[in-house]
Amino acid sequence: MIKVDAISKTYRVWTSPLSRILVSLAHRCLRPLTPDIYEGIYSRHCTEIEALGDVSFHLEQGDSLGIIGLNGSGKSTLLQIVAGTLQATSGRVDVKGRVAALLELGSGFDPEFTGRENVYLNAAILGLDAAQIDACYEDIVRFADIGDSIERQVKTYSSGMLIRLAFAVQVHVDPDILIVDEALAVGDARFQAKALNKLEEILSRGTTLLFVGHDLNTVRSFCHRAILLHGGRMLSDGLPDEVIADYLKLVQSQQLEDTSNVESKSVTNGFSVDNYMVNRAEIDGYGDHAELSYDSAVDIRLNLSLGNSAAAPFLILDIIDQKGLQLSGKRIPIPCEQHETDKMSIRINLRCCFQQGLYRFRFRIVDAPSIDQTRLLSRQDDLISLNMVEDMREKFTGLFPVSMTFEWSESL
Amino acid sequence: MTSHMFSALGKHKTLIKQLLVREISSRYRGSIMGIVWSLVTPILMLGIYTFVFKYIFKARWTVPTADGEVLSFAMILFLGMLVHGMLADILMRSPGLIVENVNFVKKVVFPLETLSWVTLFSTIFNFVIGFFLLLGFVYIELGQIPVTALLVPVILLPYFLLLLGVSWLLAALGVYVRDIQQVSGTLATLLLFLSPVFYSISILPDNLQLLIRFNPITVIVEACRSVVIFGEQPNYYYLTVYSVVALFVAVLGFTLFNRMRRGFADVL
Repeated sequence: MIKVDAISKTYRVWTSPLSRILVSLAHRCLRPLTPDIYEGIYSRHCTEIEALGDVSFHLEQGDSLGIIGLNGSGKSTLLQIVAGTLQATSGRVDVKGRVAALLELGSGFDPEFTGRENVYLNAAILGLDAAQIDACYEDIVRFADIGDSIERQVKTYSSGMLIRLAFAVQVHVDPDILIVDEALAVGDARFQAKALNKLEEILSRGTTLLFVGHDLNTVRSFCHRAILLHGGRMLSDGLPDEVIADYLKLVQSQQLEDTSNVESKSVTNGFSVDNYMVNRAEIDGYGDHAELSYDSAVDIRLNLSLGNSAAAPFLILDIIDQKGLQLSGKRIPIPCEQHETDKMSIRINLRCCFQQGLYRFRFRIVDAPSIDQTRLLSRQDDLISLNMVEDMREKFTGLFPVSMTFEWSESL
Repeated sequence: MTSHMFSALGKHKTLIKQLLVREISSRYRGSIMGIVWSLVTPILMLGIYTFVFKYIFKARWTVPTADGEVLSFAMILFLGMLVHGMLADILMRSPGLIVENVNFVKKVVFPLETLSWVTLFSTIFNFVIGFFLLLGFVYIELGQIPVTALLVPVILLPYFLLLLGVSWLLAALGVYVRDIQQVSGTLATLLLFLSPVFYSISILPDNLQLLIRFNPITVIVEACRSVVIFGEQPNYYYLTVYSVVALFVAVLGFTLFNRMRRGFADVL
């Protein structure tokens, strides 16, 4: 169980390590007598940087929380506070149970020692006694899958081997709370799949998970809940899909701020700059959602409003599956000569040859004098969606068919 | 507080054992003779002392034994050096304990106070090897080992407490004041010469004797000598006072360590 109650973390950057203790002493001895002198000493020896402000959440046993945010938003600080390696400046943290933290994998390893010795050391740090380590040692070695190297010094390991061994130790000590900080981004595809399976297995045993990652799909598939941190504050808190949408909006708006000073505003399911946006979208005869059988024709009608800041505007339509994978799409140039009117409409016809499942359309309007110089003007998700109801697995694998022919012959 | 101080010993037994094995074997890892060195080094030291003091300085300890024979200076010196060696070890290594294990502070949840325990135990390990060597030497020189030598663990117990407290104190302070590491080495040497390791305290004038008694190793060195070499009872009065002071230092060290550990991650 994790209970985080209004914590904030202010990093104090000290002029020298001695300042840290000098100020503590001054705080105790000088402040009651002469607050002014104390303030003087304080400001001379220390600068404050706020990394986290007023973050609260509560997780019961078995919950899983994803934490997303841009770099420097305080994600790692939050994890470290929950893990207990950092102290919060104010607020309360209650953590019950054994915490295994995959903060920086392998950082507790001693390069001069063999894999076996490090496994024992690491497991002992996590609070296991000798008998418990003996019991899970074989599992750890099998999971890490590094063969005879387990008897060699860790300094001879490749970084992949090191990560695999470290990960194996952490997940086999049967933690009550598992804290994962982008640790899965390393290792080859085979190990990643194995690691994700293991995480799932641990979660099914009722372990509480705290996950930080830029891999939104993992957040979506593992977490019941997510929070978005920005500048140390909780920007949103809710179901992973909602929070991820907020995050993407944040990312886009940051990119816009970087490239231009135009104000962006939030519009239906997205954002827009300079009035470029899709005002209305519908699938002819269905509205904003259609239930379709395989190979049906679809007629999409869009009303756009346009600003006048783009020299070469394009409408981009993307077809996206449930997991966020972009299947295909099209860049459609917006004719410039009729640009004087700031409203236009377009009809797009396509045949939906997709596997059973839910598909979304994403619309973007960009200014792109060339394909590499794209400036995003608007982006709207989830205006319209399709549900393909027919199971087409007999006809093709994957999400859509590719034309192919085959011919059997007898080989000699 | 006192019970809390020792709780790590039970709770993190496995961890302390693992770290101790790592500590001791890392010292000799990669060297050809390995663990044999921990025996060879004290033998060499003992040889050097014997050679220098017996044959070059022709030094004699002032206290003759019962049958009038003059005791081997090297033997007495070596015992003093063994006791002082533990303090020197703690003084030199403690200030760097936390600083050199940043990973344990920032990357994992780690019971940091165990580091001092590990340092103490590895120091004791060295001492024990040297001590058995000394016993052999005593047997050769005197033809017997005094039965009072069995009291050595009792004498050393308060010493260990003191060392532990000093270690916690220096480990925590060393994080904030890096200069301690420089000073503590010199301090160790100073304490060696201001103690009755090279001379008998009885040759000093009274007022100087009092000063030397404040040296944390004086009482222990004297008591060890009484029981191991002279076959006498130690001065129990001094030992009792020493024990009280040692317990106080240990509690103080532990308390301050726990106060100061909150800021470790901020400055490392």
